[in-house]
Parts: sequence; C-alpha cells; structure tokens
Amino acid sequence: MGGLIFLTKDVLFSTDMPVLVLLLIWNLLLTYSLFGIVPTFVYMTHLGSSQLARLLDVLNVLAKFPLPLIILSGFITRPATNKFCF
Amino acid sequence: MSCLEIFYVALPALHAIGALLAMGLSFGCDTGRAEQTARRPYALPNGLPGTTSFNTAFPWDEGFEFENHTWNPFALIFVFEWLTAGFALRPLQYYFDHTRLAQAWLIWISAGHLVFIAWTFTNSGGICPTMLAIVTASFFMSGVVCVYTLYYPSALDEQGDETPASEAKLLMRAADENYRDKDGRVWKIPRSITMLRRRFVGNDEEQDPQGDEQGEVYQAEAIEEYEDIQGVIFRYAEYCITAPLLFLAVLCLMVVEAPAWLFLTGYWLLVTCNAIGIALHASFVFSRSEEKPEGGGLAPFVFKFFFAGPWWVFVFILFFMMKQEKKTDQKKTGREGAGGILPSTSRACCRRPGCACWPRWAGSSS
Repeated sequence: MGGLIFLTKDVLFSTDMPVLVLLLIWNLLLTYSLFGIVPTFVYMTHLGSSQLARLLDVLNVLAKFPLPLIILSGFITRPATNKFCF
Repeated sequence: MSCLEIFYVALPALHAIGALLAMGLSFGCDTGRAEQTARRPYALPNGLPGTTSFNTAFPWDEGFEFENHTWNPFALIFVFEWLTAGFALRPLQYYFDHTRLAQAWLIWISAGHLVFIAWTFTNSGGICPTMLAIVTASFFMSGVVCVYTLYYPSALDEQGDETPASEAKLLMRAADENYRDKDGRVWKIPRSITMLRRRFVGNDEEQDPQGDEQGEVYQAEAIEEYEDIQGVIFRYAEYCITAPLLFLAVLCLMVVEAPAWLFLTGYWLLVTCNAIGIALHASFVFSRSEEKPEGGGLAPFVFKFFFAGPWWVFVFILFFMMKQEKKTDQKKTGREGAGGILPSTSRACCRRPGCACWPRWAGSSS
C-alpha cells in the first residue's frame, strides 16, 4: 500500500485535482486496501467469521456506493444547457 | 417484519432499479457517436508530452462530451449494478425456496448478458474485445458462484435422496428444512448449508441427535457457523467480481488515452488478488477447523472459482488482442509475423483501420 501511495503521490496529493475526483480515488485506494487489512486483523484476533462478515458488509457499502451515486446524481443534477448524451 | 428483513428485500430491488437506470444511460449515451468538444486534461507533474493524463471533467460538466471511444462507463455501471442485484438475492434464500431462487438468479445473469450484447450492437463505435471479454467473464464468474454455492449443492442433495444409502440424510433434511429460532420465527434452511454441515461433521447420529434440546442447540450453532463461513466467501466473491468493474469505470472516465493493457492488467490483477484472498480464507478456515470436511469442504468451489475466473479471462483477452493487433500490423507494414498487445489504445481506436473493435462493421464507417 505504501508503494502504491508513493507511485501515485502526485495524483493523490495534488491540489489541482477536483475534490470529487480525489474523493473517488482515495475511496477506492482505502477500501481496496482495507479489504486486505481488515480480514488479516480479524484472523489475527480470532474474532470469527461472523464479525468478519459484518465488517465486510460495511466495507462493501463504503466501496461500492459512492461511485454509482456520484455518477447518477451528477447526471440528474446536470446543467439544463448540457445536452449530454440524450 | 424487522428492519433487517425489509433491508434484505429492498436491497436487490434498489440495485435492480440502479441497473435499469444505468442501462438506459448506456443505451442513450452513444459514446461512439459523440464528438469531444470540451475536455480539461490534467497533465501529470512528471508526465511527458503526449503521455497519459487525467481528465478532470465529469460527463455532466458544462460542455463535456465523450470522445469517440469504445469504453462506456455507464455500461460498466450497468453490469456492476446488475451483478450486485443478483448477489443481493442471496439473503432471500431464508424466505423463499432456495432452488427456485438460484434458478431465478441464473436467469437474471443470463438476461443481463443478453442485454449487454444487445447494447454492443447499438453502440456505433463498436466495442473493444477487451471490454466484451471482461464483462462476459464477470457474468460467467457470477454464474459459477451461483451454481457452486446454491444450485449445485441442491442438485447433489436431490440426487442423493434417490439412493437407499441416503436415508440418514433424508432424516436430517426433514429436521433441517425449517428452523425455528429463539423468537419463534421459522426459517427456511438452504440445502447448501445443510450439505456443507454434513460435509464437516458427517452423519454421525451421536453428534447430531434428533429431537432433543441439545440437538436443536447444536443444529442452530452449526447452521450459524457454516452460514458465516459461506457468507464470508460469498462476500469475497461478490467483491472480487464487481469491484474491478468500478475500477474500470473510473479508469475510462478519468484517464485520457489509457492504453488497453492498463485495463487488462488492472482488471486481471484485481480479480486475481481477490481470488487468492478467497483461497487463503478457505485454507485458514480449514486449518482451524477441528472437524476436517469430507471431500475438502469448500475447497472444490474455491479452486474452481479461482481457476474459472481470472486465468481464462487473461488467456481469452490475450488471444483477442494479439489476433487484432496482428491484423493491424499486417495492414500497416504489409508483412506477416509482427504483432503486439501493448500499443492498443482504448479511445478512438475505431477510427483507425483494422483496429481492435467489435463488431468490425461498426468502426469501419468512421
């Protein structure tokens, strides 16, 4: 994860990138990483599959929901002058 | 009906609505026909002229239109939501007949793939075989998960009932089919879970006494344990299949002139890493289990999933790209034998004669 952040540091810490784009990129980076970190922690602490299933549900929501919501809400609230696609 | 039960019922419906919305957008938004009029590229600080840069404009921004390219983010979101709606059907197996639910899930997957194929014919820019292969692989892997976690165990169970040696199984299933929890509610217990339980503990009557209170407590604990184990693998499989599609949607939306190998290797690496995670989880559960599962327990499904998913996708995409690039190089150089996969680009490829677009006639007119 450290290597990935180092390789993409120019993008991740850019001040020119729009906030929404940065949010998407950081969200993907963190949730993808947590999908490896959280199960490792659960296995080490012997919390059991039940706890792991619940934590995975939370991560699943965090990882999946933002992008479709942003795209669909952006399409719905787009400027009236924009004849995008249709 | 509790809030959790309402959530279980509403979740697949919400995802299905999202899938239909995205499907409408992908059909209505012909990225192959649109011309780019406004794009605000963000040059990387360390980037060289002409190298990959980031597109910081969103589709709904003023003046933004897609460049002519064959990757449609809405089509990817449509596939993502469609597959997620199928996975969200799983909790309903406690309320409906799980065999019928598995069949409905398979029909849902097949219908989604047919709709996607129909979309490829409406997209005037054609479709790169990389995208077709990746989406096909995603639908296929969802089918594998459905078959090996719901449908196939049920079929095995029914076959086993026809043999005299399965009388013990029949007795156990009669007790397993309905389970009354501490609140008095009756749950339908999927045969996939009862079969997994039998694989772990066998049919020893002493271990699972029928009818008495101890047996019921043991049964409840066993069902909960195996549901959790199967549930974790199910969640891993769902994330393994659907999350890379979101990665591709971001990639084709944000990265200008992204080369095709970036899509291919990015998708393949994500799927492979997640599939390895599933295998590691199964190994961990197996190593910690006091009762070793007969026939390997979950291992056959896990390894079939692992080999059915990323590896054949890699070979399939490699074959398509090498074939198309070979044709392109032949047209450019007039000689045979030259070919490569790395130079392919995802955008505007249909404007180049002989480029890797499908159907081929869609790109030939531009």
